[in-house]
Amino acid sequence: MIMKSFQFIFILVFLLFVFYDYLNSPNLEHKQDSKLDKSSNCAPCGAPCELIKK
Amino acid sequence: MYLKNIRQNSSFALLSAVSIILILSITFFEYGFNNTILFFIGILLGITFISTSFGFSSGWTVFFRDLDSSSILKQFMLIGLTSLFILPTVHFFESYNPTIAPISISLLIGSFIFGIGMQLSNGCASGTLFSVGSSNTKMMIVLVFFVIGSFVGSLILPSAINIGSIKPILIGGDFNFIKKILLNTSILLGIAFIFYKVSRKKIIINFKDIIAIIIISVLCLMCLLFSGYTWGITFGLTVWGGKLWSLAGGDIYSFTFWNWTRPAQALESSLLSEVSSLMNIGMILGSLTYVVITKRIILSYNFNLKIISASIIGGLLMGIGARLAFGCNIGAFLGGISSGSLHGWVWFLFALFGGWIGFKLRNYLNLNNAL
Repeated sequence: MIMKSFQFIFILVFLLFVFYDYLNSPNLEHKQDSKLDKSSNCAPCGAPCELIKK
Repeated sequence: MYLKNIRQNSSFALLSAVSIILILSITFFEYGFNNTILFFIGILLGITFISTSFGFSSGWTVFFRDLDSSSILKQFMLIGLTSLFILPTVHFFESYNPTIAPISISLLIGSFIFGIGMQLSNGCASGTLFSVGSSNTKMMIVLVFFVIGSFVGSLILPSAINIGSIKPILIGGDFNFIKKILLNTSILLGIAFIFYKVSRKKIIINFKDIIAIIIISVLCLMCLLFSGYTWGITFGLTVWGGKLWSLAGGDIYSFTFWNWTRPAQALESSLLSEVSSLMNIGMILGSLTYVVITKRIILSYNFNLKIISASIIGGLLMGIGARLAFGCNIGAFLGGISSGSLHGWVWFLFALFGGWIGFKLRNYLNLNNAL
């Protein structure tokens, strides 16, 4: 029972974190097209091109 | 039977249903149709992985233990089919991005320690997410430390790249499309043939594996079409770490990584608008939904200090390793190779070597039975 409660609480806390973050994020104008600017992202981690392509 | 399972898992079922409905509504009304689809792709990935038991780390373990290449060959089949979708898309349409990364010292070290972590925790990045969704307590510990590790990795990465790197190399990058796809497929087939030859066991690939491979590769293509990027997991986990650091009052912008464009944008935006996080959340909820409907959620009591320590260290190593290596078994291995980037192969080579060390460590610590 304790373990099942832990599993439930873990997932609940995780989802609360997601919704808390949503409620507290600034209401930025979201690009409908979520493709990122190719010129400033040269690796999956978002490392800038000048660092990656040197 | 399904109704009986849902009744038995009622609290989990309610949590899962309410969250999915809320997130679908938020993404649709706030962030656009693309994000709603990406969340749905995440859900489908979670369901596919958990229902077909398609895994990465356990397959590597079987290879190290029995020299049975079946699982590794399934992974190559997945990569091969995915590359047949991704290579033409990124070749003919410039707005879709291949996963490329430099060949750096950080890639070698990162993939090596990711391999060790994968064996110690008995899970990979995708495995951690769908196992958490299936309410696996051990993998919940792994996830927490994966997030911490990837945040630590983000602090190290800018200096680590400077140690030494050569710029990203696309295999057959200057060739025409036909030559490029032939070259990439030939390399994949050649390496798969080596694993086929060294296998001491009969290669078994069943119908369920084929279905999993087809569905996952189609979902990878959809991820590329709707987000512009190939599927990645670790970036989302890094952002979760950054958000938690900020929430705890830490000065996140004092770290170089978090001043780069993409991480800075992700930190300012909601997790539900950031593709990698959104798909990770979808994977967890997809897997949870599948488990809630099809089985009774198991209570796992098989815990001791050794398992907990291995989960913590494994999670940390995977997190740090994935960040330093520009991705995990999904972002670098699947995404990198299927994009035709050389770093994907380098990742595989070093992660396999690290995995072998991790496997030996597991034997030495007598963790094989415990895990």
